[in-house]
Amino acid sequence: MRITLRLSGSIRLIYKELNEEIVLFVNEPVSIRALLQMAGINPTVVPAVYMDESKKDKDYMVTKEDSRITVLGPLAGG
Amino acid sequence: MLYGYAGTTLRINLSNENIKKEPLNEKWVEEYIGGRGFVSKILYDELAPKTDPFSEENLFVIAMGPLSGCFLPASGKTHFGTKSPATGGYGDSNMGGHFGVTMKYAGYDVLIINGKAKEPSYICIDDGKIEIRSAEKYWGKGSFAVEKAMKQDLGEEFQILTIGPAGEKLVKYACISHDFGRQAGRIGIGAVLGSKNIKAIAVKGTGSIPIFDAEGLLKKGKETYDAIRKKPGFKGWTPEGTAGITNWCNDVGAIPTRNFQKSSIEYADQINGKAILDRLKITDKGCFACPIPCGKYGFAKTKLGEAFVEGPEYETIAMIGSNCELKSIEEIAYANYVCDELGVDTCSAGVVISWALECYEKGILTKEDIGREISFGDLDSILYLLNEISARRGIGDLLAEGVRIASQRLGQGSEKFAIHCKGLEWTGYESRNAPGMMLGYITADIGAHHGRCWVLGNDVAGSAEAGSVHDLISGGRKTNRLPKAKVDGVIPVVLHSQHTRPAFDILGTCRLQYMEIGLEVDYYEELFYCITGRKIKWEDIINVSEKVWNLNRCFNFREIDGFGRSYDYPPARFYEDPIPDGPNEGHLLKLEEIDLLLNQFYQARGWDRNGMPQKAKLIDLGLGNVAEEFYS
Ligand code: SF4
Repeated sequence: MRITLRLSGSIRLIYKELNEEIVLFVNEPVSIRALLQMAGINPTVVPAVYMDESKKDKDYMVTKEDSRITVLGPLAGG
Repeated sequence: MLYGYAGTTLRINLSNENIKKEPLNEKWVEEYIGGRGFVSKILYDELAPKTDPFSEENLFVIAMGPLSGCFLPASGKTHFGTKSPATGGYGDSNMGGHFGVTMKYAGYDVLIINGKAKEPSYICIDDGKIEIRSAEKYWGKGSFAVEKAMKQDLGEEFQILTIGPAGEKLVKYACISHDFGRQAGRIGIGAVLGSKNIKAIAVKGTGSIPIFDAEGLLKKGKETYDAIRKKPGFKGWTPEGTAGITNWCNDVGAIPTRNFQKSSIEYADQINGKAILDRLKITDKGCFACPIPCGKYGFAKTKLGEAFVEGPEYETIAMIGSNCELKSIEEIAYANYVCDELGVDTCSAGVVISWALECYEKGILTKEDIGREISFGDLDSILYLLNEISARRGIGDLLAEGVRIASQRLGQGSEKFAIHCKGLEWTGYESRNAPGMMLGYITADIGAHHGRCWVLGNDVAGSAEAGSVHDLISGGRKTNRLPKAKVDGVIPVVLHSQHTRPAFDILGTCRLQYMEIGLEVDYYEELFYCITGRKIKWEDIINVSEKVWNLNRCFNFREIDGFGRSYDYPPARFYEDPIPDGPNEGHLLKLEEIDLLLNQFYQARGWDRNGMPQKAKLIDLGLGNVAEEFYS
């Protein structure tokens, strides 16, 4: 199963070596939390993830081929 | 021809009503680019040493950047500067909206005000026509009321900035308000305007800005807009704005609670971004040309009052909300409205009030001192204190001085939990287990402010040498306790943030398109070229940012007696009391760790052990004249 993580600027300010898009291949359903770890991202750093236009929990299980997950980073507020 | 700039500095001496227009100084442009760069240079060069912040001689500066008001997204930031009444040192503050852009369209990149008006006045800038007019009918009124009245009196096309009653009474954390909900909040900038008897500045601008390559800019501006909309962060950012970070700050044990006595809450879902959307929001609201409007305009109804209000942003949620223990978004939003109307900074007000509440709980302040009973979590207590402060009435007179002076005067150990650095109150991030964030706060030029450096995410991720922590070391299992953060490796992260975040204040744009959305710096280089005709690399802008950082440090050495390392420490609570609860329970940064951080930081900056920029460093940055002053 091919899954794409799309990283916001705020995440890439922390993980400077990571590209904006990371493609991962997995054989079975997997949680977003585990996908983040596979990409080398500490899930605790991630305040929110979006998939299919809606906010998802980091424990949400990804089951669909070609899923695209947007990973938001933390930012200072106002 | 100076492309990208309106080309004129407007100088107003309020004492003799002398109004002077002069060509924008090309050396400033060459060496400092704009915005924060101009403010820093002007204050260092033109302010007489040891000027009292509330004296006629203090300068009040507004400076725009070359990118402000041009055809590119989010180019509506206005930069203000003065000698801060809160810290006695360098002070600046930044505001969104439409004011500075309009000032540029009126023909002015920079406005420098000195002197003092004989009576309450406002400055009216109608393109080339400048007048100092009586503000008698507006004096004493709230910021929203004045903005509304002035728009009715002058016309919708005028952009207005105002101070509230707190600015008139010289409350040392009085802010400037604009656009019914945008503020330049920090360092007491509103009090300096009040000290000059200026209630408001109104500006109408119908001119244009010379652009080197207008067609190229139109093309690049559209490209930039499209690029932002396609970025991964775009969709996630706008819905909740900065309030969207509330739960995360709580989850990582960084939300200030009860005057930083605790760092986590059980009611985050009641005061977060979603609560704003569900219970308050009417519409999104943004600054000039912003494709990701982060403002949330809504309506808040409480038992004590109701109001239309923009916000609250995360900082207000944290400082007026959890730090004072208000547990409903309606109450926080209403207190936010009252702060805005009275004209006080919500961050500083939140620290001062929570300190007073803790003093009351500890018996250091009594019912007689306060004039009534007060308690954490009680909206009525908070509104009462806000009104007393803004009128400098009773206990409000002491609290209006800011938490540093108030605690020094009150004594009895209250200095330990007066949460500030250099006299500027802390903002919304518990940093006892966040060494990068702590270092950013304590070394910021204006005092404890997150706008200079924000690296909490890096701290949580784990510093480069320390490796990632929490979920990674726990094998992906959720844990409810974070390990102690390591201090190694944070220096480069802090320096990068300290130079990058204020770089946008130099250019005159909002930083969030880069910091949150991830817009590449190449866009700024190309836009800069289209606008000014000057080729610039991002590193050049960062170099100017570093130069400004050092100039401001020297300003503080010049202005504040005994300034140096001793001014770079947090309040004792942060190195004596471990966090008692939440994910960071038991953690703190010991004094020796803070010392280690400072030693490494000074060395990396080319500063001596007292934090003074060394001669070679100043010369290297093109500050030879400053080196002469300090080292001859
Ligand atoms: S992101 Fe927010 S602060 Fe920045 S320009 Fe847009 S509305 Fe203003």
